[in-house]
Amino acid sequence: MTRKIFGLSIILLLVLYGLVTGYMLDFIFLYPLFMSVMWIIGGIYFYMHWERGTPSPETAPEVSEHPFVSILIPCYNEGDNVADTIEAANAQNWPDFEIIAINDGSSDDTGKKLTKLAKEYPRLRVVQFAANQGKAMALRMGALVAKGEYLVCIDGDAMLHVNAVTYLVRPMVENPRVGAVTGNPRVRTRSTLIGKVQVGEFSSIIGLIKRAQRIYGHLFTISGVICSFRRRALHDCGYWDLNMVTEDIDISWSMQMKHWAIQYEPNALCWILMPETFRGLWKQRVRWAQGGAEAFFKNIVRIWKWPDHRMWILIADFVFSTVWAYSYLLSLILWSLGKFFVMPATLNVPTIFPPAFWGLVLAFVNLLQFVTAMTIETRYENKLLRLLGWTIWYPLVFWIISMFTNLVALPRAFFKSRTKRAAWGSSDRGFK
Amino acid sequence: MSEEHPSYEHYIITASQEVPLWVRLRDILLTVALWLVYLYFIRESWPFVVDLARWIGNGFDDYTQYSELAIIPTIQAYGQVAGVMTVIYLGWALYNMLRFRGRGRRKPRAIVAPEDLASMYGFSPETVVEWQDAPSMIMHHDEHGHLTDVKVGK
Repeated sequence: MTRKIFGLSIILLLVLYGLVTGYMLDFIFLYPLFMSVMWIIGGIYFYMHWERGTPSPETAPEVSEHPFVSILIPCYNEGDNVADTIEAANAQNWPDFEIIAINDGSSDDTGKKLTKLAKEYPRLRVVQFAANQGKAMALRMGALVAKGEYLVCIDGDAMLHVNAVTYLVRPMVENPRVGAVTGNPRVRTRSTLIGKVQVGEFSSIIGLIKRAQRIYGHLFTISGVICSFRRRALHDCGYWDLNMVTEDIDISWSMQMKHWAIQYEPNALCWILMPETFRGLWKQRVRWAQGGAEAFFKNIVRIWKWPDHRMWILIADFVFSTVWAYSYLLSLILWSLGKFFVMPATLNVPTIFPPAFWGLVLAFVNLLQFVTAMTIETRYENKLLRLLGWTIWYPLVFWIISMFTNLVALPRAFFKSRTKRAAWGSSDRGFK
Repeated sequence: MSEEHPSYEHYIITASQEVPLWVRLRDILLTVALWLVYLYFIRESWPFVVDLARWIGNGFDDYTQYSELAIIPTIQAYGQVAGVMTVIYLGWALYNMLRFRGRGRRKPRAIVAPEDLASMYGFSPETVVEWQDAPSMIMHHDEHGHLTDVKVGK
């Protein structure tokens, strides 16, 4: 509890500091602006250095050796999707691999379907849990029974591109310091507004941030839906924590604190289903935000040793994002109160909108971020820019949703029992 | 479909028939409305854009002649901050690239052996090897998440 109080105190003190010094509104307007600039620069640098002029994902890269690989697929109520997932995994352009599907006590027909699929695909091995244990346990057991030292982990509703395993394993084969690689999830479900906006978001926010963080050297998180691990690195950090609501953020931090490198490989494509209802989206985003908050509380005390100094920027990233969300909430409350009461000068918030000129700058930089990221990502989807029009929802609505998920997630993580086992996330997989 | 992007479209699901027509129309209209709101929010910035265009058109003459360009020193200040951040950021990237390029600071580590896994979970190495060779199995855990029993299938 001490570390949680310490972590929360840092955030609240920074919010209060902004309020009493009068910097709160400046911070609210300028923080997204400067972060956006950093992401754009990092994204362009990554593209120029690692992507431009290289073969497309359709071409498998050269690898010095081809070790045995185990593809782990934890499944919970994936009866509708698991056949497509196994078929895509089985089609990998890699000489020697196995597929391990772990059915985590599903209440639908996932178990039966996997048993049937195992007769069709000799590479497929099936682990059935007698009772539901959560995704982290499914991954742990998969790593335990896997024959390979290199593990590729995907969700039960994800479809790997044929060269994905090659791209995910190559950095670990070529560099013994690399403990994990995260791939490039592509949104399949594009029937509704929410689906379409997420396509732009995955390119412009998630993809661009991962590129920018990779330039810095440390990633806030791998994408749990498409990633690979060296089992030695997992063993070093005790595998996935059963109690963290998002196992991917936690394992990313644990691994980097053990000084294993994590790389981002945008050529490793994986096609995923995303929520297409507001309820599904909200549940998913609260989970993601809570996962970040849990990782923050877990590590806030022990991260201050000098050997971990490269992790400090990840802590700062989380702290400033959360301070921004709470500062914005505070400014909304004070602005509302100012409509009814005469506020003291230090608590007076005249407007919650950016001043005229900065509105233009924010609008311009935000659009520039989307255009930059989606142009880079036309390498993977050449018709991506057609969805640019829908991205207007991001700065005006999705940002607000993200802010509120941050506001909700922090107290949830704060009050959550450390021993409470994490459950699976949203079951909304969009329209099919 | 170009040769560079030959095979992704079959992954994409646009099950429009599942979404009612009125919902699709609503989404389009709301998106257009949102763009209009966006333009409304930045309406007070248009005089700046006009003055900026005139200043550029006049070959970057004295900007103080243009009332809306009084903000330029502020832009310069923020631009300088962004510039310094960029230099630090890219400098850090270049420093790391030069420092670590071609130097394997970490030697390859031994792979995780069945003995390592066996000691972690409290089973014998032979049992772990048996699980790793099994085509299917059923796993039982207790309420604390400890692995209690594994029934290996054929």
